[in-house]
Amino acid sequence: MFAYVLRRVGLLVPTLLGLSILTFALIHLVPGDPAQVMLGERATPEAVERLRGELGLDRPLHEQYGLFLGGLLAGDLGRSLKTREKVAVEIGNRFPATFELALCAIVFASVVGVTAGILAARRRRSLVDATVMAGSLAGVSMPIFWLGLLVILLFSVQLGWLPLAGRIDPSLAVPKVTGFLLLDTLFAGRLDSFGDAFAHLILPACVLGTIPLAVIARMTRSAMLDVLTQDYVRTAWAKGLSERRVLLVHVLKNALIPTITVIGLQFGYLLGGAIITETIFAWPGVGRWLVLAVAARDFRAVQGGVLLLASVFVLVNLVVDLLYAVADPRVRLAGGEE
Amino acid sequence: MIRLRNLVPVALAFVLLVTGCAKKNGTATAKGAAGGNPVKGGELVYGRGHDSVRLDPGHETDGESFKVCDNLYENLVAYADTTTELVPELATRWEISADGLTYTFHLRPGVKFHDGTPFDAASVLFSLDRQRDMKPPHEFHSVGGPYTYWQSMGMDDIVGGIAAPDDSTVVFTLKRRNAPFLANLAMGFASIVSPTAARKHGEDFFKHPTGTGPFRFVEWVKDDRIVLERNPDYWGEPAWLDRVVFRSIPENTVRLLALETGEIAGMDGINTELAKRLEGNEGFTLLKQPGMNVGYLAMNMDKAPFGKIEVRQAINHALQRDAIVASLYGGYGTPAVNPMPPTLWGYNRTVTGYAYDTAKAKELLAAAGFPNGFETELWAMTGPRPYMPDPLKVAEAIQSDLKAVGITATLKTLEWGTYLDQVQNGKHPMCLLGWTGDNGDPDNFLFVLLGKASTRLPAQNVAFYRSDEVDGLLVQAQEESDVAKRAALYEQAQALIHRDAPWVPIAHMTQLVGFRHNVHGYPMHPTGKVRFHKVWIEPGA
Repeated sequence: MFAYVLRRVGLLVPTLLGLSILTFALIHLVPGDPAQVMLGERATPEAVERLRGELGLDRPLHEQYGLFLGGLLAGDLGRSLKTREKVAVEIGNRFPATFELALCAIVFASVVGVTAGILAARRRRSLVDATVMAGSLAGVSMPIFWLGLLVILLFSVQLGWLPLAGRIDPSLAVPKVTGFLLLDTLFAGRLDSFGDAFAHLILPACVLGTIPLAVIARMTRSAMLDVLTQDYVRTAWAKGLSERRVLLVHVLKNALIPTITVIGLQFGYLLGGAIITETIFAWPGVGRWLVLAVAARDFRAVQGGVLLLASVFVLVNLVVDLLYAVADPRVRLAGGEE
Repeated sequence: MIRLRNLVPVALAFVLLVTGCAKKNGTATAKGAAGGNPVKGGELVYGRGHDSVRLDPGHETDGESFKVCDNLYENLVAYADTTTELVPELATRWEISADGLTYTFHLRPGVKFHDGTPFDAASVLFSLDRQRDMKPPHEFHSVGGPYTYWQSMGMDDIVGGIAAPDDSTVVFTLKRRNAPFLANLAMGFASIVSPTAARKHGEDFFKHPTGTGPFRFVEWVKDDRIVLERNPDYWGEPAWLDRVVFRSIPENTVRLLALETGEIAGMDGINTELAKRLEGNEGFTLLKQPGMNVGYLAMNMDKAPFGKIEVRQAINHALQRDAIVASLYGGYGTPAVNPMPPTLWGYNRTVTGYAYDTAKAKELLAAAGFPNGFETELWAMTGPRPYMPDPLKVAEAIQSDLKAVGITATLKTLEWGTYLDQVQNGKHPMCLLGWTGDNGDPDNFLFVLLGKASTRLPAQNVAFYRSDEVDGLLVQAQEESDVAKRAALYEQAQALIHRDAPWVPIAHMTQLVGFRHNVHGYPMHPTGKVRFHKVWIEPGA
């Protein structure tokens, strides 16, 4: 198991190296000079030239990449071209927001999705099943932008139950410790702030969780239906076990294996930042930051951001694989040999 | 085994419990005296579309950074509350020598930076010398990146030296007579920063802004909010508000909804749709004025057939400019006649725009040798700009107007960064572009956008208009310090530019700012400066 984890983590290195080359090549292939974009309409030609020199943009590409890689090995992602802030700080400022939102979204999606999947599978072709299936189809195909505005209009504007933008009311803000507001507010011993931060999370998390919810519900349902037809389940019924015991212990445990994979993958995607949700709810996460960095040709920020997100994605996948082994003892994590 | 069935109600109950705990503090509710007279206290939350990039006035180039810094920093001279007239700020008075080359500023005594250090001549030297191209370079010249505004305003070609004969006097020696120089000193980049704080923070000074302004910096949560509080040691009238919070809410509609629910008390980035929703609503105040900007169609005179004056005049006659502005600016644009907005001094009111006249246009095209028109490309930005809400629609309207006189224009669009790059390198035959003024001086429109010097690549003069006659007037106006004489020179230049028609000026877009009805005293400024010094909130309203 330990060797397996080590090997998987080791695989990160070539993956990230390849990714960094790809990202580097892509961002330099896109037309638009970062220096010109940074200085804008007002720039004098001398200023643009000076900045190009200062940023090393006048050097050959392989040299620029070498510099970037050298910095990376020394643990330095450099400073953002646009803000002059350290890229690591820029990411550190935003990743907790993204993580908190993604975690709440995936918890919401998993709890509701798995429950709905079980209910649908229990009575196949019933009204419940039809409702869950139709609902999940709607969920998968929902334009998030529209849904986001809709819930804001309903819950924030009409009903006035929930705040509509940001992570916390500025007047309830607490000092930053971890960057995770749910934790920081508790550390500060401020229940009112915790409640406010939680209230700010509800709408974006539900909106962000809609598509994963639908995917998880469908996956749970089909996995449950698969398992339900197996012989051991018939045996379980024949033993006279209660429906609850058959479904939740015998069937669900096996049906959960593919579901866990799906949940893990969806969580990985969510951690990549949710540009639309972040934009609508003014959520200060990595997604919007990265998109703006691309638009500004801020290649250092883009490189750092992509590397971080890729690492996170790979790590989440690793955790999912480990969970897989926990759920299914037949899976051996011996490290490749079959 | 967790009983999933039981989890849902538990989760729901939890949600209701904690949201019940969250009591919202009103954003703008200080208890006290009734409205009418300014009242001290309260927090104003102001929503805008983006976060600031960096809070160092010497380095910043984006409007969102200036909005915040305008409240933290001050200059030797400042713009009056609502005009571009110059008034004393950190300098109490100044003298200009007879030859127009020496400017002597007498500094305000007893002013302290937010870090407690005194404002003096040394801090003025530090703030401006760090931006200058000097030999040897200033210790901070290479800290924090390029000093873009100093360079783009051509300050190195204007300022020969800055000296401090004593602690309370600063003397500028100019390389040449340059009247707009004084207005440049009122711009954000010329703000005076605390040398102590800049030295302490170095590359990170932009995160620790330290000025002399009516508000001081509290915190910055990236992409979320920047918080300022009243500077209790301010040299002038202290600010009314306790705190100002700048919040980034990128989506326009959501920002408006936040204003409606009271989550924010003021906002900008109001498009025409949102403006209609606020206008006439008693709960809100919508402030508007013609902005210090211009949107235009430039014809690249280096490319055939736009070198011919008849072609350019024909295109001016072919376009239904008023109709375009009326339908595509949603009532929030003023059709442009000259390259500068009518709110600036020196605007030529005797120039009238080219009348819409397709017969005349065809006649001119025939005279230029194009009786059957010609084919060309019209370049347009893809997204809204501060001077044009919907460039693509404007381009489509122009395309159809040109078609009517026989000119077939193919639309070409590029992503903004690429677009600007290509246009400034003169790759376009015709393009849409615009400009937002910096210092409130006509020079900043006419010389920057249509002067010969601006045709150097990458060019600001994207019509590549080179008129010795106009250029002579513009340079002469730069050297003249008498405002009335300068105004006369600019009026002449506008008449000539109108005749030569390098552009079709399209519109000056209206600036819009919205507040909840209990917010008072916001001075809307032509340059778009956002200053909360004199803003106050009516309690209980």
